[in-house]
Amino acid sequence: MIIRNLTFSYKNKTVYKDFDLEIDEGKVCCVMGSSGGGKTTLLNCISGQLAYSGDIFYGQYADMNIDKAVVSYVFQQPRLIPSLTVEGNIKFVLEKKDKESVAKKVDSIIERMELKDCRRSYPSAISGGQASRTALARALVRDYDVLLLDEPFKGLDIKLKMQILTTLKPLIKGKTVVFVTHDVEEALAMADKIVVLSRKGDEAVNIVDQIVIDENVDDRDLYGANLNDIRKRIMSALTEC
Amino acid sequence: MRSEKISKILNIVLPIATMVVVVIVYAIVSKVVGIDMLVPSVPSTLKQFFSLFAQKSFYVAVFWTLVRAFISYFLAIVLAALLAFATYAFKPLRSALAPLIVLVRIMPTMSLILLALIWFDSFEATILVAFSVVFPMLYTAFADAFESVDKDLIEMARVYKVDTKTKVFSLYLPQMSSNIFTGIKSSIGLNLKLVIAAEVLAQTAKSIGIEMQFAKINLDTATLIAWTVVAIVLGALFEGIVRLIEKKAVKWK
Repeated sequence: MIIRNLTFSYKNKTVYKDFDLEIDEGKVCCVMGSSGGGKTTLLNCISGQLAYSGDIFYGQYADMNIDKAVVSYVFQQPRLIPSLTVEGNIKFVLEKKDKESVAKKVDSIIERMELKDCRRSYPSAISGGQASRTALARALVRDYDVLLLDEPFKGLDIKLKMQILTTLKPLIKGKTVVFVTHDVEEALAMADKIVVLSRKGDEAVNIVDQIVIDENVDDRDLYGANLNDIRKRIMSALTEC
Repeated sequence: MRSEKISKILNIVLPIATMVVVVIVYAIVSKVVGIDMLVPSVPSTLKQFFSLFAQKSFYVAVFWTLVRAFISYFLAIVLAALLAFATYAFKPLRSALAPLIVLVRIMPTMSLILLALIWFDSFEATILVAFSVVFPMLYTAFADAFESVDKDLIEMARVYKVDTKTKVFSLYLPQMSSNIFTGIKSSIGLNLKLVIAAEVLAQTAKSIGIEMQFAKINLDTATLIAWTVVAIVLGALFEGIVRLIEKKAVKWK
């Protein structure tokens, strides 16, 4: 994905000005930075919710406009429809033309996200972890081009977070993912590239650091002792925000 | 589990007990007054109530009153929904219409009835009167219902490019249902009451209103109360049907 000259203002304040970013196709890019630093705004531009100027291209050759992309978005809050069951919420985003194919896709994602026990429950009757998994299942059930994750594990305990991350990782392999997080360990566990953004006062967002994580680093043990150098570099970039 | 069972039983027993108390109080008042023409006894009222069912005119009056009630309510609900949608889609329209809605809402019903009687025949006048009172209530309910749809969910559906049919039936209608049902429950009984009140004043032929008016002229209080009971039963029936539909429609709550 290529973002070129992204410019966006909100209430006469510039958030992005001629902002450039490249994310390799099929890779996970974690976006970090201080609160109010424009991370969610970036996702909202990519998802087409905000009117911006500039270009966002995607695809193997980054030659297609993002308007044409199938974008899946996991918001900070699960945003589940209270009148639909877990299964209904997942089905909500699918085209209903081929019922058999819809049923297959839904069954498969429910199985993989371990939502079998609550598939017929309404959102008011499920736990926070199940709600997060449902929101993820809804995003993953489609054949998407770009996946946007906006702090999807906010408020979950470490054990639950680890469980979901372990489930999620193989499911998004080979997909282009932009993952906003405040958690360094989450970023280290998921990212192929980590971008640290900074926005001071009313200034436009700028990139403090971009760290590409070597593909060969496979033994990413969440909260483990490896990747220490990268962890230190991220922490240093974050303190500059 | 046990307290749930007790609560269910109480929900059935208590309303019945209240009705029994009302009937007992009425019977005592009737006994104290002692004039059947003013406050008829319970047995004579019941006798009159059941005798209504044997008369062909009863069914004709109930049928035509219900037709008028149906037409006024149907027009009110359809126009309220359409206008609420228009104001939701085009916000300035809501501000533009606000004074008109307030005007219709606060206009004295009696002025409305008298004006309607001058301008229209008795059939149309009864419909117009009920419509004019119920329409602003339903419009406000629908407009609030549109506003109550969670903006985050609308945004989510837009990002996922969900088709319109799915959005309407799986997102908008369930989210709006609470406000809509509240509006319907508070207006459906009122609509019938207004139709009957307008029928009395407009002297509409073949109506519950005119039957009540005849009973009043003949000082036949028992028949008047019997017709009142008929109107209450019909109103309660409508509200009951709406509550039943609501229970089925919003089972997720």
